[in-house]
Amino acid sequence: MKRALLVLAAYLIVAVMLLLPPVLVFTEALRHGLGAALRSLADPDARAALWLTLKMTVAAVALNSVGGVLAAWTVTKFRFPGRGALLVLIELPLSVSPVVAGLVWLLLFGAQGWWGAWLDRVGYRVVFAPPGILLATLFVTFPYVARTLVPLLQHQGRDAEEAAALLGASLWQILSRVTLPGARWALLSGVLLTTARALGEFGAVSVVSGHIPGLTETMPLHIETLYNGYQSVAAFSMAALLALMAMATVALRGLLERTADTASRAARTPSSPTGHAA
Amino acid sequence: MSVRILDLLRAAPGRARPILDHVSLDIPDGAFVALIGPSGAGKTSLLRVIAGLDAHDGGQVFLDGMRMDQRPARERGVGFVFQNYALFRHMTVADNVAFGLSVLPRRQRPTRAAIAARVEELLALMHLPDLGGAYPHNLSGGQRQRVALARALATGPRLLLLDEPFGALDPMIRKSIRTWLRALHDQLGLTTILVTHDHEEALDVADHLVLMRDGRIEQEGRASDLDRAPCSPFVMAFMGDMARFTGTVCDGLFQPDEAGVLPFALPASDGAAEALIRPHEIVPRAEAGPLALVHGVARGGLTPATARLADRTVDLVLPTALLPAASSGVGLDISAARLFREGVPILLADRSDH
Repeated sequence: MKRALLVLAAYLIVAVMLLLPPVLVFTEALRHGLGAALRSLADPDARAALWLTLKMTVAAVALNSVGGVLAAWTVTKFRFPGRGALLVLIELPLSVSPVVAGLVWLLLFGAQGWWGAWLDRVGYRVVFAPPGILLATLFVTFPYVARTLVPLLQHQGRDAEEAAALLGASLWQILSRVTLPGARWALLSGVLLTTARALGEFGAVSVVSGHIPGLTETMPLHIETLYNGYQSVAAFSMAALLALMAMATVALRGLLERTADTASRAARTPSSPTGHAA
Repeated sequence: MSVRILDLLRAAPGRARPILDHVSLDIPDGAFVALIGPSGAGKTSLLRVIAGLDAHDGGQVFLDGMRMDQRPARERGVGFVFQNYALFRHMTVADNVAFGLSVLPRRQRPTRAAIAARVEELLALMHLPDLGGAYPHNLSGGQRQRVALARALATGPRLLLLDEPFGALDPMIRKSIRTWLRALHDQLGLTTILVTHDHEEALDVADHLVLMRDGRIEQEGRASDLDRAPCSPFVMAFMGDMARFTGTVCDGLFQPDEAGVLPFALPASDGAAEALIRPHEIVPRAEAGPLALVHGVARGGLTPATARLADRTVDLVLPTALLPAASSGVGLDISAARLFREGVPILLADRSDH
């Protein structure tokens, strides 16, 4: 009886807290039918927001995958002074509010910022332009690849890499042929987490973007603009699209994890010891 | 490939005693050497420094007369088998074995067909035909070990380093793999260095033993040398079961402290001494003392026995055919013992009559 109540409570919480919001988003978006929703997405500003979000996401994921792999590899495979500090620093973006991160970029690159005057002179815009949005997204999403890789690489140990080195492999061959393939599921999982996070980042991006419709508005920012302008169907349509993209990413990650799980379970159960030298 | 190690030092951060404490060792081409010793003695460290996996803080390593200790591991051309085999889990057996060939620079790399042929040849040599497509997790421990060996041998190294290669195998397989490994060593003309903590294993497969302790080489030589003339009680104890008798040398006679242990003559100066002896070297002499002898169950022509001394018992192993008729009134002849005074051998026991 107690157990049934607990299970019921769990379902209730999931339904209210997790299921209800997306359901509401979709019902609101489709309130005037699918046609109206799709028409709102065809608006030039909406299309610009979609494009900007996709470009920023692809760039952030690519850069942070490379950076995350290098960071994770460095802190797990080498012992050097300051290694512990680096491990903590990798997680810093998780604990710092995205708004604060955005403000830091503003302080550095803004018109009144440290390098603002110089940037203005060479005519390169960082803040209130895509480079600033990319910087903000990079900062917020940096930990995900590194964090999913670090425990796995630690668990893997150095033996396989040492074996590869003894067989004549270069550092690059070791990374590309031994370390990363061995960690491919964790890497993919980290990449997908980064993607989901990059798609939806609001706080840090909001500070540096300047909310210029059609130019520096990503999807989350555009949703806010639309909603504040009482264009509720358009706002919810875009929200629904964003939610779909994020859910697809997360679903893909779940699927991959299950595949990886089966693979590693197979790896853990050795067949019966029948081998012996003749 | 000959191996020459000169005054090798590897310090341990935060510890007073180095991991390798000025180790020097000469291994001739074609030798099969076992590094033995208790855990923490520095055996694996020595192996890893030779391979280039661990740094050293002093000394030199020469392979075939060429100084190698400043060169990275990948340039040393040494075959290495890890304790846990360290196979690449995401690669098939064939890809594992081919790895060393496939990472060669393009100009030196054999053709795809040549690599495949080499892999086939190695798998056949390892008695693993038809397993090329399997993944490491499909294999048994013994098979994995042979894949690791095939992978290490693929590039044709002339020096093979094995770190506790039998540790993870079940006892039934160990014995046969040992014999087979020795045959492989002879067949391929390798120089092999094997790390093990099991002296029986070392005796079985190697022709030269290097016994390490606390980062130093305690003694090296053939197994029979280490057994006949151990340089310290530690070597004596590590090489097998033993019994210890204290006593005094007086006028060329070792006089044991305990009643029932027979004195014996030896050319040594007067003073306290300890006699160490293997259980099978103790001979019970009938009507020579006051001791009682209790027999155990005979196995393989040998019978374990226990002699009751005044305040302890001593284990013996006797040929069943030579069991004394009397089980009391026995004295123990320990004249085959090695004698030490303050840890230093004072006389090499003459064992020509055993």
